[in-house]
Amino acid sequence: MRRVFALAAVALVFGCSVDEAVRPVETAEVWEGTLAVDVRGAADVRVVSSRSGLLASLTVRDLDVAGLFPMPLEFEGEGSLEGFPEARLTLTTATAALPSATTGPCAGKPIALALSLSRRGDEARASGSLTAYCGEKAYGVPARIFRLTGDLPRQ
Amino acid sequence: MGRVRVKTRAFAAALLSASLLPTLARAEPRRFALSAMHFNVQYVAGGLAGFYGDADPALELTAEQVEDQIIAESFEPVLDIFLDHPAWGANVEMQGYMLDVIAERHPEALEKLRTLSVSGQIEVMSFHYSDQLFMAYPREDWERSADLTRQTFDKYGVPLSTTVFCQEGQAGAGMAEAMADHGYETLIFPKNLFSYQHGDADPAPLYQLGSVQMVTSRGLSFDDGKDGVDTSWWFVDDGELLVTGDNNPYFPEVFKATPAHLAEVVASLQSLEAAGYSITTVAKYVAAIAGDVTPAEPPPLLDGTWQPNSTDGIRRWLGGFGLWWRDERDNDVRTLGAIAHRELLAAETAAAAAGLAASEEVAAGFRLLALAQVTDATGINPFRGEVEYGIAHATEALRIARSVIDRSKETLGEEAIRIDTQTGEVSPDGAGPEEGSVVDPPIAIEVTSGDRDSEVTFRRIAEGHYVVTIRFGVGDERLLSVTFPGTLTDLFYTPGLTSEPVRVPRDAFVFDHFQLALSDGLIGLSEGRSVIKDQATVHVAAEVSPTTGDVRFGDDTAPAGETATWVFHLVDGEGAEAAAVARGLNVLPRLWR
Repeated sequence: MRRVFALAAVALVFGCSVDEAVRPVETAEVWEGTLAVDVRGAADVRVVSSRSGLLASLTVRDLDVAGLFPMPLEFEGEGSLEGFPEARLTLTTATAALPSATTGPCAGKPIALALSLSRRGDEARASGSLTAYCGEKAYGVPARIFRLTGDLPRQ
Repeated sequence: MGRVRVKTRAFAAALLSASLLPTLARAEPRRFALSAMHFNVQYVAGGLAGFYGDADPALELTAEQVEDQIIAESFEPVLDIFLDHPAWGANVEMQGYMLDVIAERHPEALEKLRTLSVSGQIEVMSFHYSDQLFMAYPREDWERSADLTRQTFDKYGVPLSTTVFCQEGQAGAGMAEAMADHGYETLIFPKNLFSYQHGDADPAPLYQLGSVQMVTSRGLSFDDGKDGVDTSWWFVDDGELLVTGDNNPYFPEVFKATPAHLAEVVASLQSLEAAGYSITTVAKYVAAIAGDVTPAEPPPLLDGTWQPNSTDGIRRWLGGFGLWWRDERDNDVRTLGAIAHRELLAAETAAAAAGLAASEEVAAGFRLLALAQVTDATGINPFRGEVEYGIAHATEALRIARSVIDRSKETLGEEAIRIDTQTGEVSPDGAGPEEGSVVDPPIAIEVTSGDRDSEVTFRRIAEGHYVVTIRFGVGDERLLSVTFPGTLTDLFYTPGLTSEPVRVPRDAFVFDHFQLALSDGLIGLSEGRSVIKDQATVHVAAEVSPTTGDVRFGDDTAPAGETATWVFHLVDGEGAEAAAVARGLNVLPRLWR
């Protein structure tokens, strides 16, 4: 949210036309925090959701991934914020592709990564997974599911 | 955590009974020594990361390392015993997933298993792909799991036994129909679950349970004047403990087969053999006695697990706490499983309506759901890693399901749809479900929440149909509960793996209370009223008793510092109305997406 306001302020300072100045500014929601990965590891997570889509950025560190992909992992994926109103649940999803691995269980294949983070109501706590699939499809039998938990508060 | 406990192995009891029985029984009874070695490659679901104080890689094994140790140290050595003694037979049980792991990383063990099972020396029992709490979820989830199990066994050429024993000894009378539908023939009903309901009397040597047969895992001495049968169960426990000196996979440094433990097992079985026992399989036992013994009608049997006295029945997995209670969040884990169940069915329905080819995605989602529903995510003593294993698999199943639904909407050109998984109808609908209006409470419910605020709202959404919403505020209290008032009528609920509720005489049992999982959420309060838990918000056990008609739902693992909202439906009528609501809510739901 702060970023959007900053952009609007810059536009006004640099003398936009009246039409441009009153054009509705797209609001965005941002969540940011550090989640535990498989209890021992960590991931710095930033999720930005707006009407134009959702962008999730993760930096995964301090984790033995058995050569699945180079560490630290930088993940940036597009996705969506999915609502389950009857369950007071939202699910943050995003997917991304990594180039072919040279080692590990996906050697010789690209890796599809999928983020799925659940949240109850307005709680800061988020929990879910970062799942790695060998190949281009983000489904099937995972090469590995990394467990994510921690606080991801709204900024 | 599956179990960190020291047990007196049934083995010793079997040997004791073997030494006594010849003096007690009539001349020349046929003697059978039976077993159910329950192996669970998800014994430490997700691996040991975080279990110890320090991140010592020698102790905090990965999931794959734990699985490999289970197979190498506890499973394959057992196979070797039977390869070395071809006259002996036994029953081993595993989830379908374990066979995948064996085939992928332990080809020699697979070959041994195939040899022993093809010859019939070993029965390989498997009723579920994952060691999941299938009694707590609609049958459809188990159907997918059972189909995947059979495919896995067929794929690797291992005959799937027609005998059934399950994770945590889950069993119930409702399994009979599901078993028959999938080619299973004999259920091993855990002795303690049986005696918890009906006392310690000797069981019959064989029961007729619907169209399948049933034995209990209690040894017996039977003599009808014509035929004498002695059975002794030499091992009914976690198979991991048999040749490792009761050490389990949470402790990798000592979880090892040793020559001394292997020799002990062999010597014990030789003693049984010397006492006249045929060390054999359950299927061969049933075949041997079926022509001579008239199967008995079992008493009413409620759904449960194998050690109801120490776990308070199934409640340990549905609201009860264990050793690492700080990290438990049973309701969170179990409701996520229910939400994923609904979403996967909705995805399948939406894809069909849109003509979208999504069967592989839906199947992958159901496989993940089976893993998510693993028992160890909520009991007996789950540590943080296991809790998060359940959540992680459920959320990924949810993501896959929602991806299919979103693409179905795009294909249909609709922004908002109603998906009816019961009828298969998908239609434009942005209105959402009927919310009803707030009304005065038709009954008085009792809510406990310690230092948390609680607020109860009743909404009437149709004549005789109310939605009860209980909102718990933030606080430190971990124990939340609600009690619905009832009358002392028959127990009215839908047994696990069935689709229609039954009435069971409340006075047919010896227990002072019982915990029911309620796979469709339904439990009767009186002849004319039922309550249904909305499993997307509350999925804890329902406590019933022979002395009160009240029904209590309790969660001892509600996370401190977080709010909670539980939703129930209260339905008036003789039962059919409530069954329809339960089905439409938890089994084959309508969802607005």
